[in-house]
Amino acid sequence: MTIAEEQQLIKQAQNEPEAFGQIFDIYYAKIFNYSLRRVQNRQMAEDLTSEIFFKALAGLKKFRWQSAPFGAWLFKIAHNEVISYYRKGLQKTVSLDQIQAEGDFDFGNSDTAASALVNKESQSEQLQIFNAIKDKLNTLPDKYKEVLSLRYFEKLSILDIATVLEKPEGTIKSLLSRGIDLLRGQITNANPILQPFEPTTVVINEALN
Amino acid sequence: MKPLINNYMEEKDLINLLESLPVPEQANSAHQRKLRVALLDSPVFQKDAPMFNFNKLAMSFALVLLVAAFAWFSFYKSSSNKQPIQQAQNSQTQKVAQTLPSQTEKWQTVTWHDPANTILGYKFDIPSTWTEIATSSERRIEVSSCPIDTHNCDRPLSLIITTASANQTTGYINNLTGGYVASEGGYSQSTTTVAGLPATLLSHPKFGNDKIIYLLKDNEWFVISFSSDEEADSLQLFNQIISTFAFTKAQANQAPAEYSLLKNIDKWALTYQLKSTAYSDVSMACTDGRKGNTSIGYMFNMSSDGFGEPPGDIDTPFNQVVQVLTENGWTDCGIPVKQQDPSNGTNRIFIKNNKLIGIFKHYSMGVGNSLRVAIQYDK
Repeated sequence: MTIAEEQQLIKQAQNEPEAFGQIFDIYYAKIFNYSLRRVQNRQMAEDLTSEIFFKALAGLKKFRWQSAPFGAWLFKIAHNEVISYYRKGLQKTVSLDQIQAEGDFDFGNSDTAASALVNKESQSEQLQIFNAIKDKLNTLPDKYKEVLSLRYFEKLSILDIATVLEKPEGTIKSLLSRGIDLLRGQITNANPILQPFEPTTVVINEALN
Repeated sequence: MKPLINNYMEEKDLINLLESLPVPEQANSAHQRKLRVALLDSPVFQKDAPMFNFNKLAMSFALVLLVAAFAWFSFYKSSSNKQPIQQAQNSQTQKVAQTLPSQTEKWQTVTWHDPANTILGYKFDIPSTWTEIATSSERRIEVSSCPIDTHNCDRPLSLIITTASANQTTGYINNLTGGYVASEGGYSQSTTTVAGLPATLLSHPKFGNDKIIYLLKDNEWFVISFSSDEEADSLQLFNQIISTFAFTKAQANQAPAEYSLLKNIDKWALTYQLKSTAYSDVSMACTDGRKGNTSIGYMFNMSSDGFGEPPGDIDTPFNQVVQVLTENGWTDCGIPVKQQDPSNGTNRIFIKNNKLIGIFKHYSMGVGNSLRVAIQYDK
């Protein structure tokens, strides 16, 4: 969808439920997975996703297309909700393994056609890499973790991240650069886990088949 | 096999890896479907809202202006002989009053009761400008100064109260009462009193006046979380709200009147939810689109389950509910066209005095059948 098409869709969605439904379909998986990665609890991620979309719906008439697109605005709501969640002390720690064991695990950034081509062995290997990087990322200070996650897990642009975090683009670039440096240091100083991969007990759900 | 990550990785290699690495996702089609339906059925899209009457609004505005001008003129006349310092004091007092209502009497009272437990309830007062936020759990209440769009609100303050049985504590309650939230979250811990009972108070130096209070009463944990800013009056506001907190007992009339008609038909589990988060309430409409009184904010749910043939089935109570409602003047108004698929279960919607009662019967292989009666309800 082009930016102009999305702009038109957003305008329609302010009054037409079907148009909002199309937007919802585009962004549901992104917002749900963002929430899941942040709170690491499936039920809470569902609750957060619901809150985020209800708030987006309620605030849609206030949305004005400026420098950043709708997706960034939506992530900004999501970011605030996650912050609010943590500030309210509702976090419940669940391991990533446990999340994966809960089922319906899918690989690929909403691109199911592409992910279907990836075989199970390669998925397992990629999952280990992802988990290893995520573990290392989680050891970084929040400000770097947030920016790196938005950039490389949520695939947002620099401009979108700047909008979400309400920081200048230059600051985001600096945080990314410094964050990469720190992450590389973490990997370098680690780590048998990031060495050549042996089969492990990581759970891959049967849904992958 | 060549490792994809190694100890000698260059910065650009790490960036390339991060950019090319597929990110795992969890499909959640059931939740997505339900949420989509709930969103599209939101009152935001309802077209039968009252039309905007510009003339009426213009007349009202003119009247308000007239009254305001008269009031200002009277005030100016009466205060013009006073000392400047007094004027400054009045101005300052007025400013504080705008952000923090000082009269508890002017606040509104929020009440909560567990529908399944008549001794479990509480109430507290909040400023009249605050509103209750829809939540996805009937054991959680959230009130906020920013009812709609938090990130566009200048001062998003909110208070959440959750209740949990001490016999069935969640990970969070265990972490809270075990002291882990305080120690790992960097909270300072002290004791306080809420409604005359000893309670634990957690304060976080990083987050303004954020507070968490938890206490145990009648084998139930009550957790009060206040999300705040760093302004001094927000702490004052929190203390004022907490000073009004009191435990209550549910009254017999907490349930809607229709409950007494139906309560002896089956063994019911009772819950209520804000309608905006009760996803299945998209089914609450007649064939002709009538949705009953949409200003009624809650849905009172009576649920039971059964299996197979009588006794213990769900068809018998389903038919009895239909019969009782019909005998008491309720009219079957059909169901929305999009719901008219037998594979979705059997739904019946009844209407009386512009109020709806829905009866939902669902068969499920292997896990038993379920019956739910939903009553539009204002607690």
